[in-house]
Amino acid sequence: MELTRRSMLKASLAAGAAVALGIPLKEEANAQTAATGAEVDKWVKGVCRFCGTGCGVYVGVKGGKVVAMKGNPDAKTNFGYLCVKGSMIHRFMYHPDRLTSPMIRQADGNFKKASWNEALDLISKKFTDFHKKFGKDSVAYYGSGQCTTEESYTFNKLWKAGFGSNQIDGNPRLCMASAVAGFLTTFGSDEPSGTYADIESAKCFFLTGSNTSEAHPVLFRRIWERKKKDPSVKIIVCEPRKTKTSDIADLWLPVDPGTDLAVFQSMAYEIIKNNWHDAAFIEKHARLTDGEKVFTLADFKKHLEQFDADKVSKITRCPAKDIRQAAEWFAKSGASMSLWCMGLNQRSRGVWANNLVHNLHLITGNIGKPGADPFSLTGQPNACGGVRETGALSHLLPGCRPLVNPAVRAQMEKAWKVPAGRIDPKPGMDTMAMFASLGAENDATKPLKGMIISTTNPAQSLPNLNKYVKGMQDAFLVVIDIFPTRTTQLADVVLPAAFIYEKGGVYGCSERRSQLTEKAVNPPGEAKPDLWIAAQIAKRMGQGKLIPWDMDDSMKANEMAWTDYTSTTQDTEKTLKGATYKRLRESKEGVQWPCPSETHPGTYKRYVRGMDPIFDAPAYKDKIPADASLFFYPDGKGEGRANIFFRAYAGAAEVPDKEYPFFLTTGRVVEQWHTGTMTGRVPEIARSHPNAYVEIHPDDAKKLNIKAGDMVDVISRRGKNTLPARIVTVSLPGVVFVPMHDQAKERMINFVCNDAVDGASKEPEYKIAAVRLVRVGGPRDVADKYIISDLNSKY
Amino acid sequence: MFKTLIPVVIMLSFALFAFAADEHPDDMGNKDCITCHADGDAVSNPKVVAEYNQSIHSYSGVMCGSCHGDVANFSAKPPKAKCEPCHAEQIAKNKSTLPCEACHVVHTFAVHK
Repeated sequence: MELTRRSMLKASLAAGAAVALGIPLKEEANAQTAATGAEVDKWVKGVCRFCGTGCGVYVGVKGGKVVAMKGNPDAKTNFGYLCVKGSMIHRFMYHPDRLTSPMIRQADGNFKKASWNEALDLISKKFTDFHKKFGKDSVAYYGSGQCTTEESYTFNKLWKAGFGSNQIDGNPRLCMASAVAGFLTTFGSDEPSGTYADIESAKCFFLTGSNTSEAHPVLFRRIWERKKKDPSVKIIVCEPRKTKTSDIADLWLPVDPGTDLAVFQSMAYEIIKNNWHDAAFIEKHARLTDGEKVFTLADFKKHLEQFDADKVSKITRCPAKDIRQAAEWFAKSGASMSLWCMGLNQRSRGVWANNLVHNLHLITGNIGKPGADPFSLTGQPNACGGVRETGALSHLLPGCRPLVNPAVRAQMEKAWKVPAGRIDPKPGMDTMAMFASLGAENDATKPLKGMIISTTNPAQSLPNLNKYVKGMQDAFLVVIDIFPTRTTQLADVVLPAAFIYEKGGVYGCSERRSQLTEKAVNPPGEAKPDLWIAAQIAKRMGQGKLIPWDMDDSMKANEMAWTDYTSTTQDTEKTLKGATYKRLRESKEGVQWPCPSETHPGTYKRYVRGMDPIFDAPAYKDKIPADASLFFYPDGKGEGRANIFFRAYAGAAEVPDKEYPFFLTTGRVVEQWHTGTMTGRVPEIARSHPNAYVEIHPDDAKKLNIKAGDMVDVISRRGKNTLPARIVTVSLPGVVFVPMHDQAKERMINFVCNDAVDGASKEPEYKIAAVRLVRVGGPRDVADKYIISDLNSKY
Repeated sequence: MFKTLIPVVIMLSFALFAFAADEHPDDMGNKDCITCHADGDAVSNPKVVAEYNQSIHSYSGVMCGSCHGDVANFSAKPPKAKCEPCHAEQIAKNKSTLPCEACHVVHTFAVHK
């Protein structure tokens, strides 16, 4: 339309009249009228629902509904900033697909609306029957790093103290288990010694196995600003893909997937060979070991000789000179900080990869001082606080303590007021074993008959899906969620969940920080908090005494559960005794453990006298030498040392061959989160990244005669996807990448991924598989923004 | 007469930008913004994508739709409320009636022009 003076005048006058009369000009006008921000009745403090950064938010409420989001400028995680996902949470909360009633699948295969009593009675009866017929371990709970701490703790208590069963695991097994095992084996205790505050002091960043810019964008802003303020700060990125994260790097270390272990070893060799290591630190604070014997530094150097940079360059495709440069910068910076995520953890050698990064810090003394820390990033908002710290995994008890330890079991039995011997000393199944063991009542090969799945979507997110779908379909499956998903398609009972801002609760992010979200609004329809659901099932199964927080007032129930939890760990190194609900409510920044009292400020650095209150805790005080300024007190040998591990080299479980000549790696894109069940329902986000695709290097595309947009089959030994091609130089030749959020079956990459697991952590190798590519046709529009909307739709 | 109307028209034009969602000039279909606004394309500012790609917003997860919305809530010139999720304090303190972009360079987002 041509804009004439007359038409402009008419439009302006019409607009002015509309505004004067209070008529919204378009749908969005109501939410954004004032020039000074969104119009709301109140702002309620909370935490972002997405990644593990733990961004503080304020939830804008108007007329009893959430209508806006904004960052909390006082939060020490994000200082007020949000990414595209966090700023749009209100855009999907009231999506018409929200589940608002309990639903039970009928004989005809369709769901029928049920009352809460009907649904809970059915679940309790089925589980009780299974316990009687097949034993206490025939029913499992599969939780999530997106449930609140109170929820994960409550289900953990119900299973381990109530049923005497350790058949409880959660999706952090699929993302963080290798980091947990890495911290445990190196330091004797899970979770980082430092915090995000190290970013502002670091002089060298080593980012590996992490596309921080897309997966943790708000945290990446802090790294970006650090570099901007001090350009002498070095950033090294070690990744098979040259992502946006690498754009600000001084050095990109390209590696074939799975070969980065050799680069880490080679960097260690260069450091020791050139005498850039900190011999005094190693002597005083570390132990050189293969897990059994103790060795000398000379032994370690000899062990590392096999990782000479020139040799490693041939295995990895990483230039030798760049390995040497990275080693020098890391060792000589004065304060080096490593950050990593799924690229290291989701590997069949994930624990070793973690150990080897810790090694670099220990041989150079880059720990226990500002800016120097090996820091593992988490992908979910409450994987650390909710699942790791409450011990809601099949081998742990609260405080992230192993349940095989008789003293820990005895303490927890006393705390939970259950008879001695109630907690089974044998760990339950890990996630992948659980799903491999799920099946029908009449299938004698499948010991697991029933399962509750909450706030996660394994029917899309498990690797090698073809192997696991039937088990989920055959077993009695209860799913708690807010939207229909691939997993609800396999469920027998679907329970409508309250969203985080409809119930409140605590999330603990990557940096040991617990933050409280207040309930801001009521849930829609009959949706209920998980905590209420757990209490109702407990009551019906004779375990009501264990879970007395069964009231409708969700914040009251949350507080009771939190207080119960923190009382069980108050004498451990993960104590949150000082983080009372009152304090968490009043605080705008949350509390970092260890925090033994209400007057303690929380802990910036663990293992450092003067910062870590554990040095003065009664249970530890006498075990730590009075003159020790740095002491790794979780050391099982009581020497206060961390382990520098001798590790061999091992590549991926599956590497390319003649039949499957390409490496496949998968990951996130900035707009979408996990399986897209929330972000896929926001139009702006869906538009930016509607569908999965396969990134192919131009050299490979040319050889295979694939052009941009062509449809390509990505085939592994386990499954196939059909995806549009993006011809880009992001990945190395021979490496292809597919994002993981798409819900359309032909584009769900987990059908193709490998379910080989790390022997220690049991975390699967999502990040590496061998595939072949076949062009199957020209361009096709697949930007359909596909989401599962109909609860009765078939898998 | 026309001269006397000019200030009114200007004021009401500001009101239009502040209050109204815009009509995207073309059917957006299923296309991502970059499909049409890619570097070198003269649909709007031909430098817009290149500029944005160098900005802190592009590195920290603030995407086209974060500010410009989608079909139903499209803003050619995003109002202050669109900046609020990350810059609430600045908006609360700022008494100016001018849009943020009057001082902050669009897409490259330097602190001040």
